[in-house]
Amino acid sequence: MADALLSARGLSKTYGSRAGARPALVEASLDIDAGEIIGVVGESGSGKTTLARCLGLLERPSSGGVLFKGEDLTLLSLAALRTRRRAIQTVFQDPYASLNPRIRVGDAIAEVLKVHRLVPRPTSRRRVVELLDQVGLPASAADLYPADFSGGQRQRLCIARALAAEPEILIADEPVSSLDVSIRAQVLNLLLDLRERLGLAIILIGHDLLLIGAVAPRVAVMLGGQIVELLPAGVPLVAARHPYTRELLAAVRRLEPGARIGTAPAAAPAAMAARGCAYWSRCPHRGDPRCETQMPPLREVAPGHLVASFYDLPSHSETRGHS
Amino acid sequence: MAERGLTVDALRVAFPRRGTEPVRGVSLAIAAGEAIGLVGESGSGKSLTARAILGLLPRGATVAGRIAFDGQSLLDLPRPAMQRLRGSRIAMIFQDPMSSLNPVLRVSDAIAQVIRSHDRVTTAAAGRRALELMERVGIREAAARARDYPHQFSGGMRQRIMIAMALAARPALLLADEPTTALDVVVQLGILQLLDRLRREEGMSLLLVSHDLGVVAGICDRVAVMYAGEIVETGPTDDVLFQPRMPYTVGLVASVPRESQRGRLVAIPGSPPAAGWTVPGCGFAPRCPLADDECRVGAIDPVGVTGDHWARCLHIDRLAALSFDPAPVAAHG
Repeated sequence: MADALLSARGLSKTYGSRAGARPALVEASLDIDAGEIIGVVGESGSGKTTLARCLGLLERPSSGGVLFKGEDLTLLSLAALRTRRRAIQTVFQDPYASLNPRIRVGDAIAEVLKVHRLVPRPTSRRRVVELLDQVGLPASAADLYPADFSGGQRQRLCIARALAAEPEILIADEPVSSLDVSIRAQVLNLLLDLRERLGLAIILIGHDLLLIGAVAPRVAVMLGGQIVELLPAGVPLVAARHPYTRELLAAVRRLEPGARIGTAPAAAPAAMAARGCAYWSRCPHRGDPRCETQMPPLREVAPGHLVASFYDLPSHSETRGHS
Repeated sequence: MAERGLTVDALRVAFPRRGTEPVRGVSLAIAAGEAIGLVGESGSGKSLTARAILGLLPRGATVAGRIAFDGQSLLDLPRPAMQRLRGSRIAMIFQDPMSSLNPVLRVSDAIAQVIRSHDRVTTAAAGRRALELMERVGIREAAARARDYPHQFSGGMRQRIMIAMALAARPALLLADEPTTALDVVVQLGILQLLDRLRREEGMSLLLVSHDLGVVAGICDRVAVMYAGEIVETGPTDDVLFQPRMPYTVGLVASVPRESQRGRLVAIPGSPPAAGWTVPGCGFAPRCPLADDECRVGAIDPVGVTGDHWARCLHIDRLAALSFDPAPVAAHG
């Protein structure tokens, strides 16, 4: 899509220089439209955070491009980048580590306004209160320190601080993973509200396929630095075709009557080669010599539904008996 | 008393110097070979309850109530006797296997050490049994990996090694405190299957402490839900999770998205109280849509639902009126 707001184009990122190590991110491509919520799901080491950091301009990719409104940000100087950075803001997993404990939260938010010269000084307090209100916190919160807040409230503060920059895109990297179960839904609902009210595009990153899939209409699934599947809006998770997505779905603990786990042995984590498909060692369709050495291309199996495979993978309904 | 298994009766854990009481009258029973899930959020008192059983409470904690294992009272057991019990009859595994393993000890030696501390066997015999245990908990090519150090294993494999150490003395009861929380879902499933299999094959009792309803539903016969230091609902797993009666359980179950669900999630307003912080009456009343003045007066007694399923709620017959609207943004969390 040429009119995507933000695009990852063949992004790769290698950390360190260990020869033979698999890159953290391998040729990842993804388009994010204005005002949409897109989910990125993966286990630890899948490259989801690296993708977030590259898209959030917190990290330079080793190769590939990050296109914001058609402009490749990876080609810009640091000074030029600074002016673009305001539009893409990130919220991190741990709200305890993301707030300076010695700065009143109102000042932390006002700092953003000052850095980006967004509001004249005298009105900055009013804007801080407005931002706090937007995330459901009272004006009195501005004079308190991070320690005065619970985990869920701190994550709201981090979101308010990100919103202070008036971004067009919010990258939320595991925003609820460190929160209590009963608080997670509140924070995710807040993100849905913000998208609706502010027209914000949100990249929602997480490891819980059901949770992310419930909130984000489009979901990208990552493994070994690679995007293995992109599920379009309106397609249920059960329609996933990539065997890894299906495996994740099978492993997720559901709350259903008779939810007892089966005795079918759980799959062992995939052993990954430095190159080639991350799922190769476990894939029932392997056999093609290319799997081991080349990245399978993302192929469109249905409108907007992309699967990384050299093969035609069957849809779920065609293999219903299998699981 | 000849009763087998674990009985916890009116357990209270307090920190007098802080003036808090994070566990307030918890009672539960685990029969031999039974698996019970203790579910709660941070600060609910679930981990302290498990730790109190083994006498592993932090400094400054006082304990009241009764804990009995196979008829023997644990709270007034002299230290050396408790020490012998720990790891042999009752074992415990924790969330983070890396910080629970000695990083400079080869894993087989770590397991053998546990065996030798409880059984009089030769070093060679302990080594052989350590290897058997590694195979039993699903470590592939155990013989080749026995001389490895903890950092050479993945998180899931480390948790398997912890389980092997816990099983070394053939405990009758395993306390597992968030054993899969730090693990990826696919690895988590493997560990749960392992715990489930071991419990069946060894006839071991299991107390699984978790914040995750799905994990508990996977392997537990019964579940107890904790909130603000109390068990607020308990019963057979399917009854509690699919016909919950305590509004907190109702909200918690509803907030877990189903596979077909899209859009806004069901959210419980407010936040759970900090550990040990209590209000008069029902601890959940400040967040409960059904709460009225009556809920805020005195202790709420358990109300029977069916069989051994009960809930601490004055309004279990008004549940039809309960709805957790998708939380308004103004709700303070």
